[in-house]
Amino acid sequence: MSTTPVPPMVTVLTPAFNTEAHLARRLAGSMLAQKADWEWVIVDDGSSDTTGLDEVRRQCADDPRVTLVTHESNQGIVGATATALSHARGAFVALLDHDDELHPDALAEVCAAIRAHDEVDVIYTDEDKIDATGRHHDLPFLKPDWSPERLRCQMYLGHLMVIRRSLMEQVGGFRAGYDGSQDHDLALRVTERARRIHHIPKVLYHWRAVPGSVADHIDAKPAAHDAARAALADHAERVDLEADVVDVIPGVYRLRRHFRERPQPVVSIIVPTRGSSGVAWGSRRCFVTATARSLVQRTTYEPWQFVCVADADTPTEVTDELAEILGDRLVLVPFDRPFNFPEKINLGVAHCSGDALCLLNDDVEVITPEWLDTLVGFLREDDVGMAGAHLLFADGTLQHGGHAYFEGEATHLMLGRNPADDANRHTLYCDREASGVTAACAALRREVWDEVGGMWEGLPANFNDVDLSLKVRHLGYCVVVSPHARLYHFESASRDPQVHSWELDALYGRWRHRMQVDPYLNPNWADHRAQLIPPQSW
Amino acid sequence: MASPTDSADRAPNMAEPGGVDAQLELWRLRDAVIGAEATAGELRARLAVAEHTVAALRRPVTRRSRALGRATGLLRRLPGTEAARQRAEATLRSLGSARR
Repeated sequence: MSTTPVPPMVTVLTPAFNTEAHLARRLAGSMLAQKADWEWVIVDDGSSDTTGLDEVRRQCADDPRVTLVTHESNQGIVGATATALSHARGAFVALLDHDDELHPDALAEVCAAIRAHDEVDVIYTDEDKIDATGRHHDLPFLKPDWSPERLRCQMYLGHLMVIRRSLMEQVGGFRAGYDGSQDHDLALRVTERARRIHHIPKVLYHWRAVPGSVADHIDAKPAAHDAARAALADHAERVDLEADVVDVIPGVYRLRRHFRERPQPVVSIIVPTRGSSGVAWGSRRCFVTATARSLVQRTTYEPWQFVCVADADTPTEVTDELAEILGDRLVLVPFDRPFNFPEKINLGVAHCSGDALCLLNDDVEVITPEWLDTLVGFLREDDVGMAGAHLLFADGTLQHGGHAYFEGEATHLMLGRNPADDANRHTLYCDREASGVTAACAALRREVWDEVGGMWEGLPANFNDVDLSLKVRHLGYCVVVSPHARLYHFESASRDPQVHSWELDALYGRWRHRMQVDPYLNPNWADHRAQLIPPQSW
Repeated sequence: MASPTDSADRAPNMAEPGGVDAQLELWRLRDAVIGAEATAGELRARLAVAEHTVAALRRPVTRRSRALGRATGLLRRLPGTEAARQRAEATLRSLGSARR
């Protein structure tokens, strides 16, 4: 009686074409070093120079786990991967390029994740780049956990990507016509259907950067940009997003939501103030009137109203000037109790009529005119509860790019960095999910606000926005932050930064267990600014 | 998102006497309910840690377990990959197992 061999857990798919011998030797070596239940299907895609694949044959000839299939003529990466997929028997398939290498623990880690997480359909790992000799260069890409908004900006899942084979077959694998960005297109299609997506925060894939490769320079294959735009436009259509694909920088895009097919909701901008003045860029200003003027002059979004919750000691000349600047947009709400930021915001929202809310500090200045279009655009998706902006200090460095929980404490992601930094593969250029956003600029749908019960008045000065963000996420919504909504925030000029221990106790009494791990802050970062711990500890 | 006409329906109600106070009270109660759920989650997490601590304290300390503890501590300070460390720790655990 014959027995059918038990299928392996993972099949590695490698389309190969004219692979160089020394790279093939390293490729085969990295596969043979794997300590898991795997098989490897290599497709020689009609190579004219077979020295590399002969090397693979020499190393793996006796290994029953390795299958080498030959195409008579070149069919491109799409055809070659389809052939490899048709020979795969594993429950999952992993994509390995012919000039790259796997870390020796890669497949063992993947198999452990498959065993540990029910219903996982897609797994991805961190990665770095190596040169022709295998030397590591450039900083590794330490990725966030599953961040769908970031995938709409950048193919951040990259390598190593492992997909349940049945799902890969269901979506039809790579699609013809998307060459150069076929992996981004595939990632969008499989994640739309995946039940669970798991990130392994370890550098398990080494991407070869040689002259002429995309790993070396993003513009190496210009047609790839057109393919990426097409893949993103297709994705927007499939998931019913009314959005245009816009280039940000090479390799980074954005799905800019538009309102061409439906009316824009009224946004109530809630601004608590006491009419104080301070110095910004060397000159004295009344913050709230300067904020109002900047909104009127630069905001492209309509319609909006300005709900000003003013302390009793706000100078009359300030409220008069606000009325002059804002006209009918102004709703003035008097507040005559001791300072309590959430109380003021809650009172303002109770007096407003907008379907969308934007909490805004009185000491900001608009930089990007489309800031409110951007924030409100995200809120159209049912699963987005809150959207925040990038806020800059007066010197142009980053004050806020989303909250981050580092070692259990709440802080601001990338605090103090230059917003143009290529931090961790262009994080600061991408729309993305975050653990929370500051109430200095945060947009919410009115019904989400009602559902979470507004802001907690038990935290009058600090961390009330951390609590609000956690409440929003507790109810299953996500929070997104966008670099395309940018404002100056003169925080240090207008606020006493003192934090009291009872405030921390109150916050931790509710949420410490939710702040131990930040899904969007890679555990290999040495701090919230994406500084790295020494490589020997990876 | 609700249509703009919904807000027109909502605003006049808030203008009724006591409308704002009733709204604020509703939000406070909803906040308190979520806060209570969050606090319960926090307490459950602390309880799990406390139970783990007490269980560890109750485990008898033998010469062998003390030596294994020291070896594990040393192992964790050595350079090496996470997978290698986990394998070595598993080996140590099996050495300390009463089922050997």
